[in-house]
Amino acid sequence: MSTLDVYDYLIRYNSTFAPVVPDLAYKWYVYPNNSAAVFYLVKNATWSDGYPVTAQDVVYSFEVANNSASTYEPNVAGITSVQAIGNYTVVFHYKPTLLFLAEAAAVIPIVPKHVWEKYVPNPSNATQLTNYQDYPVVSSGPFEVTNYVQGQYIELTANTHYFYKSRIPHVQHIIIQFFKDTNSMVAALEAGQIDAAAPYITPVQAEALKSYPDITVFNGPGLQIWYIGINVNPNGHGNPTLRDLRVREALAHAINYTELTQLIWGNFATPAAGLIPKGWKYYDPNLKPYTFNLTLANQILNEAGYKMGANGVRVSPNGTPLSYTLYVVSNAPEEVEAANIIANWWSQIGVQAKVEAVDAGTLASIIWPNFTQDFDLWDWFSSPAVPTLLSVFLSNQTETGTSDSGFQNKTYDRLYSEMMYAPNLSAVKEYAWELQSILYHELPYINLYYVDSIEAYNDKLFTNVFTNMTGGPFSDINWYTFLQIQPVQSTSVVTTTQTSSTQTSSMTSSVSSSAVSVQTSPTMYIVVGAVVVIIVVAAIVLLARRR
Amino acid sequence: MGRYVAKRAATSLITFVATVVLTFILFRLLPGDPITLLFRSPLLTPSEINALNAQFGLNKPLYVQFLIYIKNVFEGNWGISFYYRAPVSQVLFPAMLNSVILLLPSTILAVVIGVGLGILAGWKRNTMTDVGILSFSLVLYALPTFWLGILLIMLAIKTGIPVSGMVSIGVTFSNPWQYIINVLKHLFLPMITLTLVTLGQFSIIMRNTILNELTEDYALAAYSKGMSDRRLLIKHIVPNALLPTVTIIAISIGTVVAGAVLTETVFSWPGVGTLIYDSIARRDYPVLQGAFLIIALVVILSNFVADVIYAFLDPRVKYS
Repeated sequence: MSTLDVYDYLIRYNSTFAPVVPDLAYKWYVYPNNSAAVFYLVKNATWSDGYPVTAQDVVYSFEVANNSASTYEPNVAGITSVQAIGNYTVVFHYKPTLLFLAEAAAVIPIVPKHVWEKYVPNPSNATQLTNYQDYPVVSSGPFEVTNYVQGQYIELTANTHYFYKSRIPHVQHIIIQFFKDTNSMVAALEAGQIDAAAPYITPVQAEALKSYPDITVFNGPGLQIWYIGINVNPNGHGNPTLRDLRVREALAHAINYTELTQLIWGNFATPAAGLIPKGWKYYDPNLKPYTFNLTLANQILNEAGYKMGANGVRVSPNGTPLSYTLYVVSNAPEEVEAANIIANWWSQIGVQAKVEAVDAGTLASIIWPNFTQDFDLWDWFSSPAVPTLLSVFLSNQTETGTSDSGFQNKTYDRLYSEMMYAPNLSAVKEYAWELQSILYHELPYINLYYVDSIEAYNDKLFTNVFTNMTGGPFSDINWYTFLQIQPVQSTSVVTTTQTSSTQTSSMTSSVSSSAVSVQTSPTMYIVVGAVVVIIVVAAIVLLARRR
Repeated sequence: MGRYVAKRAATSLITFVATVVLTFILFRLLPGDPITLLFRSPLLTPSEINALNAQFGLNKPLYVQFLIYIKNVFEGNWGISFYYRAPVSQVLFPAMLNSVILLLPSTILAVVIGVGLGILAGWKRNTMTDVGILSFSLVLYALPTFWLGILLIMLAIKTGIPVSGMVSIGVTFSNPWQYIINVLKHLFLPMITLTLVTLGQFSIIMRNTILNELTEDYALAAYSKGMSDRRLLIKHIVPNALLPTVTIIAISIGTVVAGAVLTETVFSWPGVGTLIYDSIARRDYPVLQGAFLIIALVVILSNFVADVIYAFLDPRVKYS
């Protein structure tokens, strides 16, 4: 559920991310050449101010999205024309792709032209930023925004006039409150001041919540992957030995993925193999994590001529030591720990990696545009519905500040564009698997783990939470939960989500939340604090005595 | 006297101008640019990035950006937040007001209790009362804010005292009075936390200045002419000992607009401290510049006022 669900979409994803559920369009047709589609709109949809929702609104909404300042721009860039025929039919023409429905039709919110026109008269104007929260919310979806305070909360109220009678929500009000820190969010859930905590809580918090009889802790496939990006950019300025595939293979074999996942995330993550996480539409189940085999890793490096130096660090045939810096984003303290564990394994194959935690902004400036890094341990959030994350490795993404590996591969580029023009969806899947297989073998990334969505809610207050969807019951893309939930006693549901970034499009991958997140358990604080207090008191008493 | 005030005012003005320049330079020295962070998105083309840079004026040479910035500062136009895409004043002032609501009562409480305890400890020096107050103050001073906040939250879970936010959400208040009571309930825990962690510094400084004053000749003279302990303390020692405290209080009042990152984070208080913290992570220069300018302005002003008050309180301060 995203707060953007106050708007309607042409169509919607089902629970396995197939774009097949009618919304504003009750019927649609894609032409056999996969470069045109026609949508027939329902005639009884109205905006909350009484105006009807028409084809003109749809055309306008796609123009707004196709603005170089919009985060939706990549989704709609392939569209060549959008035409309204009468008031309730829209025809799209686009560069041939099978992904049009999944990538555009199910993603672009339809906004009220008669309201927005006053603020964005010329939507294709590149200098005009379009932020969906900046404009008065006149909505047509299952919910209306009845209150909004930036950075604090959003109050949604059920739209009793919603044109889909079967989708009118059962709860009257839903409040989404933003917390700065997961500890206080969990405390508020324990105190009964909120009813659910999302989009994620920490494993330690999840374990602690299990002792509360009223609270259900959910964990299941999530939307996040952690990886080590390797600077393979042929024009980069990192350690050149990393451009040798054999070195990357040795490094990949020198990580115990199962143990690492257990140590950092317990049972709340899965060791990674391919780039696209488990539970996503284009996940490749054939790929398995690299085997942990230090002997094999040492052997690969020996055969490649990297001789062990006197200080335990191998040296390349032309004298470059295998000594690297492993950057890791500092807002994820548990990943800094992961980096240290990995560096320790690597030291056993004669590879020295100095772990350095830096904030996302600093890391970005180290990577782009000059590629001076060796490794970056970072994460991606992306939409599970489309294979867009694979575009990160296109050669032309190096200069745009998206590719952090600088991967350049003509075959990869060609297969990616073939995927976009594939004749059917199973062919798209085969291409997506092939692309992942290339990445798996070429190793621009060493994928570490897919992190579960961990969410918690009070099951004594409402039922019918829709959990059967990647991302969990309260994620951005799960639009079922808020429509389905039934109150048991109270008529109001308070949901909490940690960061306000949940309002950006779910298609956009974003840097993980910048909110302060503390991974240590509250018990730790008490113990450490008690020790500090005892030491201070003891010191004072001793000093007082001496006097 | 007039000359002294004018001189102080001039120094304050120079300090402010220096701050204006430094603020600009400091944030540009931070590695990383806002656009990369705002749009870490697959399929972004270079032309789109250029368009965004142009929109925020980030493509102009640094000195042009600087001139625009100086002009805007003095016109009161502090730009558009990169992240919120709203005027900086619109982002900054509500957050600052929230911080003042939290910090002003906490600071006043901490000053009153801290100074009171300090006087008591100084007067009862080398007794168990003194040791008790001193250790109490030192422990509080050393307590990590985060830890104390979370501890208080855990204690409050069963009591119904609100543990987060500034006001109950989704509740309609029949009159403003109810609203204020609700905010006060939410204020309770963060205010206690802030008061506890800051009062230590006031009591320790107060105690030590009292001890200093007691060893002065005038104290001995007062004793020898038979003045009572209580009268000596109230009439002579405390007024003199308050002088250095005035400076500290002035600085504390000045930082009231700067927020308190840790407390605000623990209690999800929508204040300016967390806003600044988040803005640094986002490289949101306009918000940071705005926040730092206001903080600098208030701190400089309160120091100026402290200087002037000081001159009134202490005739030894030379007017030249």
